[in-house]
Amino acid sequence: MSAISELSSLRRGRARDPEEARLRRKAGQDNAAGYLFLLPWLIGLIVITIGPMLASLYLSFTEYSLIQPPEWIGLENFQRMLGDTRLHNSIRVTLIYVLVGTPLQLALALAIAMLLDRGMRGLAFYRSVFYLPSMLGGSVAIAVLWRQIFGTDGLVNQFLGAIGINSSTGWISDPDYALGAIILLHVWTFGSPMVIFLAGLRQIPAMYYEAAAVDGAGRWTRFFKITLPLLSPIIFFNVVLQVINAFQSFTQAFVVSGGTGGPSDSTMFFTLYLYEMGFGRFQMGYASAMAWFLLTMVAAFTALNFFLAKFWVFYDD
Amino acid sequence: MSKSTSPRYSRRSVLALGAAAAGAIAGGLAGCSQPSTGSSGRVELRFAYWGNAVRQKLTTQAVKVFQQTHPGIRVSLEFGQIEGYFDKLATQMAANDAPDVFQMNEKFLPEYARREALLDLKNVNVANFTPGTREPGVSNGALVGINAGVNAPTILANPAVFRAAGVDLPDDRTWTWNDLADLSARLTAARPGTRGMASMVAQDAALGVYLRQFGAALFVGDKLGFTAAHLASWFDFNLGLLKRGSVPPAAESTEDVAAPIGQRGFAQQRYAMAPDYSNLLAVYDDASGEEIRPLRYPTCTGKTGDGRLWLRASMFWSGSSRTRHPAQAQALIDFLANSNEAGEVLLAERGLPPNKKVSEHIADALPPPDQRAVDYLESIAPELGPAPDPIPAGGGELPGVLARHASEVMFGRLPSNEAAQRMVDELQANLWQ
Repeated sequence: MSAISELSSLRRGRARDPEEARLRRKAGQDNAAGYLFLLPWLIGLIVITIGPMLASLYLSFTEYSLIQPPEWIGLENFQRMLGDTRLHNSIRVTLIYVLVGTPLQLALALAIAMLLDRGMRGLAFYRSVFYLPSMLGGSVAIAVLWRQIFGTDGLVNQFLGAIGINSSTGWISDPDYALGAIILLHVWTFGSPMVIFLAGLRQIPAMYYEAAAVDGAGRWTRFFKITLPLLSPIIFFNVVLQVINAFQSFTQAFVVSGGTGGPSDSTMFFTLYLYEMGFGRFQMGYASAMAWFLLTMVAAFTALNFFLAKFWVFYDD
Repeated sequence: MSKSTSPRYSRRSVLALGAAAAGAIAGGLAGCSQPSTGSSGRVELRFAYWGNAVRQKLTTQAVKVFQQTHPGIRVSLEFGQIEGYFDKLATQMAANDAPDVFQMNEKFLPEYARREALLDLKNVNVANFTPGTREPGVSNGALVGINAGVNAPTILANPAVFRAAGVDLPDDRTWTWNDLADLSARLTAARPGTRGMASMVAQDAALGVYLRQFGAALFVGDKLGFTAAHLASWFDFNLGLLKRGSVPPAAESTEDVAAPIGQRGFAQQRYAMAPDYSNLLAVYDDASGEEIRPLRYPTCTGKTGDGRLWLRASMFWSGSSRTRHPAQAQALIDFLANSNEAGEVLLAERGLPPNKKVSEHIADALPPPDQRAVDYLESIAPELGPAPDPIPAGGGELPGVLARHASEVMFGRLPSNEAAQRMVDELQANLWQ
């Protein structure tokens, strides 16, 4: 039990003796100090996050053009979402991105983490190298680079040409492939889950593997019977985090498609459509309603994740 | 749409906005903004615009001259790239902190005008404007944008690419749309690595020319000026260009349209022709190192007078309806549009000055490519069609909607009549009812 929960349990009920009363006062002072230290962050949270969130909740029930004052229209924005086919398409695109991109990214992260977990020399170096894409991947520069690499006369097609496949496919500009290229960019930024996996792998006692090896368990058996179960809390953590991240991703699609979500809305993420509505078409009320829908969608997926966790996450303690 | 404005909601709105620390949104709280008159009684104007380094230099210089001739006014310039410019402007509008004078484009002009955010520029003199150059800045009957530079749709041709392919430049007084298709196909066939022309299916101006020649238009009044059948025939014509190799494959075209001008196939001498605007000649000259020729759009009949081209505004100067200095803001715009001093500095970087006297005054000072652009404007002047109706509110979405549906057709994902019908439906839904 942590010190904080010990202190807070002390606060429940009446003090039985002077010693406990003294402890409680001390706890109160501790909390005050805690809040004081928390203050800068708390102010930020209220002013920059909670305030605007409440404002956008209000705006979601209004028609608001940014230029004129908002006007209350009740649930109209939400009703409109039901009939907006471009919105439905953007939900489809986002779900594909989340449901395909996240598992691939985590699988790659785990694979690389296991590769690095062999106690090789220069681990710190390799770890940094593999982490690098995560630092860069969300950046505008890389998205621009991606557009070049996957262009009709980009590196990918040149490489394919070199091995005898003549391709003039525009991996970014063809609506059939554009989303795939952006998912690939997402998968490539596997660094942060990889680092977390690596830390998790380090926690698994080597004696389990030794004992299993003695019993004649092969590599795959060890992976499925030891690594995966013991790593499952870490996997769960990564799944929750990366799903939330993927739902919110914006920069990559924005830059790769030049802000249009094109070609033909094939990379029109929910966030991109929201942005277009809010700033491109002055429908900030509708955009706010969409933002709240996104929040609900993310919350629902997270809740589902926590529910499913009961069936596959294994806690050692 | 319900327009209930009961006091209960407005009070709540003020509370909620207060929580967001964005109280300035509500009109009643406008007093929060700082008065911008300095202690010396001098008026300070903010002037926002987008552009490149050249435009920044010229604009700064022109404003300096303005300050010399108007000692009571100080202008602070807010310069930025076009990316993010309109996001910033909208946000500033919301915060009641908009610049007094700003550059505007044709997409957003009707949107801002419809929401009463633009100053009525009744004190700006447009008496000397070339006929047809004032109209694009009118919205809802009021002049809210002053044409900052005249241009016209054109098909740009690179003579060097024609020469290399051994093909003669067309006679743009008599060529037809079919000639354009044939010629482009021949250019493509003549030399590997060369394309007849850049794709024009998603160019709203090209579609505009085509529609006008069929007696239709992009917009008529507050409504769409064409039918799905018109649009389908445009798509079919462009599918024909694609099939004959006159234009690059769909994927390449999609990239080409999205690329910066200097990286486009036409600028890099891979395409012989490209649809664009006349004021971009200088940029293409610069990028290609060749003397680019502006050609008239083809016609259906092959008769010079049937082109029905029109004069456009490359961009506008507008003022904020909430400016505290409407007189001074208009004085600045008037200076930029009507004074020889400003004309001498700005030249034709934004397009030819609409004021006839200014454009004549600077005619000899223009660099060669701009001179060529001016010659083009003059040569088409007698053949122009009537000025098109201004874009109605909600109509600014057309280029984006066109690009989306055009690529459905060009990639073969939708038949042209179905794409056309969907596009017309979407555009109609977008228009302000």
